[in-house]
Amino acid sequence: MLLIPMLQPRVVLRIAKSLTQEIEKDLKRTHDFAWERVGFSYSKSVQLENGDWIVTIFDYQPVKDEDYVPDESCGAHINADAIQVSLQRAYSDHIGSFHTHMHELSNSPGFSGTDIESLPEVAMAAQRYSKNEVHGLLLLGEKGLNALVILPGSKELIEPELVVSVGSPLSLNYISKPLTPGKTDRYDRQSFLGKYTEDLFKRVKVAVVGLGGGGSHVVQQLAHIGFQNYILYDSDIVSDSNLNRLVGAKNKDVENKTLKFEVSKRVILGLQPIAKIEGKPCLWQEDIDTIKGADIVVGCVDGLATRRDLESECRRYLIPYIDIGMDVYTGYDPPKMFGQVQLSMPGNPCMNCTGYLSDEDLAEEADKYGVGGGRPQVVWPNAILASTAIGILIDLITGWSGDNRPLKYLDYLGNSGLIEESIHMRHSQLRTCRHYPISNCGPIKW
Amino acid sequence: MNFSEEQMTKLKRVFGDVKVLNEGGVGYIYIPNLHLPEGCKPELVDVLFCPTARDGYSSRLFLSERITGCPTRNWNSNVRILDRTWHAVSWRIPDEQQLYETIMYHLNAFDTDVAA
Repeated sequence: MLLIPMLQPRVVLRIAKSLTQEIEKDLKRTHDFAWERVGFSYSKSVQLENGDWIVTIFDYQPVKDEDYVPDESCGAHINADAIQVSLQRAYSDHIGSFHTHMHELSNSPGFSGTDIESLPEVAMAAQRYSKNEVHGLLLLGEKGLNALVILPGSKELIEPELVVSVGSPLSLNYISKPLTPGKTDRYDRQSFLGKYTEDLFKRVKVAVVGLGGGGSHVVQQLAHIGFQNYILYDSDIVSDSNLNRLVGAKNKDVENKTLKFEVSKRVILGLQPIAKIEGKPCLWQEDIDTIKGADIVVGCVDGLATRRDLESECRRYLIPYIDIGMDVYTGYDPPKMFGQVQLSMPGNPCMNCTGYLSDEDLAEEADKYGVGGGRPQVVWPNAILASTAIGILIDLITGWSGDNRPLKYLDYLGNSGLIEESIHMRHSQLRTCRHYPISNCGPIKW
Repeated sequence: MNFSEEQMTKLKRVFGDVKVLNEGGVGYIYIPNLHLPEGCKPELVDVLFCPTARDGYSSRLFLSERITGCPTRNWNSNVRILDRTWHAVSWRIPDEQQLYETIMYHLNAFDTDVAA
C-alpha cells in the first residue's frame, strides 16, 4: 500500500476531546487475550468549494469482546462480524467509518508496519459501502492523534493535513507536514509560548466575523502575533462615525468608501505580506462554505440572534467559538458600560447553557429590530475585550498558561475597569451541553 | 424535543413525509416538497417549521427558497438552521393548538387571497 503525503486537497479531521477521552477509556480496557483493543469511529464529511475536506467524527462503537480472534502475531485481530457491523452502519447511515486503535506509550503515534499492511483494506471496504464519505484509520497516542484517510473516488490512503482534538487546549496534530521549531527574531520575545508556536501561528486558520470596533483589534493582534491564515467577514464600508474606534481606518477611507474588509486586509498584509485571506465583504451567512474551514472563529458581531446562529454553525463543525461584545446603557447616571468575552467549546456548555442567550432576550431583541440610532461605542473597551479574546485564543492553541478550563465566560465592568469571571459561571455547575450533543455534529445531507 | 404521536400523525396525514430534527435544544419539523398557495414560484419548497417561540414570534415557518408571485413580504434570507440557509417572512399568526393548523396559518402569508 502506497502512502503519499497530502498536498491537495487539504483534509482536516475534527473530534471532540470528550469523545477522544471516551475512546481512550474504552481502548485502555484489558481483554482476556488481545493485547490491544479496537473500535470504529463514525464521521460525516463535507468538501468545501476550495476543495478542502472537513471530517467531523461524531460517534464511536467498541468492538465486542467476543469478536477478537486469538493471534499472537498482532496486538488485536478482529473477526469479520466486527468489521461487518461497521460496514453496515456506514452503508445504512451514509457515514464515514474509521478503524480506531491506540498505541498507548506513544506521544505522537505512528502507524506500525502491521497497521499499514493490514488495515487499509478495512477503510477501502468501507468506501465500497459508503462511496461519498471519507473513511480511514484513526490512531490515538498518549498526547496526540494520527490518521490516514481515503477520499471518495480515491484508491489510496493519504495523510490528512490536520487532526484536531477539539477541547481546551486544542490538540492540533499536523500529520502530512509536522510543525517545525521557530527561528525568526521577530517572534523571539514570545518564544515562551512554545517551541513550535511560530509555525503553529502560521498555520492555524482564524475566522473573524465582524471587522468593526472589536474585530479590527482582533485582526491587528493576530497579524502581530504571526497568524497567516484568515477568513474575514464584514459587509460594511467605513463611515465617519466608525473612526472613533476602527483600528487601521484612515480619514481617506471615509471619502473612498473603503470596505472594513479591505481595512483589515491592509492591516494584515502590512505585517504579514504572504498571509492568505479568505472570506468576503459580506455577511458570514452569505459565504457559508468558507467558515467551515476555520480552526477557530472569533465573533465580533452585533445582536444575540447572529451570535446564536454563529455558535450553532461552529458547534456543528466542531469549531471553538470566541465571542466578544459590549454595551453602554445611557439610561443611568453615570452611564453603565458592560462587556463580555466567552469561549464556547463544542462538547461543553454553550451560550444558551450559560444563560447569555435566552429566549426572552432574543424575543426582546427581535421586537426592537429596525429601531434607528447607533449604539454607543468607544475604542478602549473594544481593545480590552479583543485583547482578552486573543489571550484566550492563544492559550487555546498553545496551552501555555496551563489553564485548561473548556468554558470561559468573563464579564467586563467598564465603569470600574474590572474583568472578572461572569456571575453566571460563579453559581453554575455546568459540565455538559444539552443543546448541542456531539452526536448531532457534522454536515447534514438534505 | 418530542411532539405527541397524535399531532405527528395528523401532520403526516396533511403533509405526507415529515421528519423531526433537533438543533440547539429546539425541535423542528421538516416537510419536503410542500405545495405553496396558487401563484407562488416555485410551487414546491422544503420547509422547516419551528413550533416554539423564536425571534419574538410564537412559531416560525422557514422556506428553502425565497418566493415570488406572492404578496410583498418582509423577508429574512440569512437564517442558518440545521446546516442549511432558510428564508422567512415577518408574519404573525394566532396561537393554535394543532401543529398542522399553525402551519396552514403560516402559509397564508403567501396566499394572494389573504389580506396582508
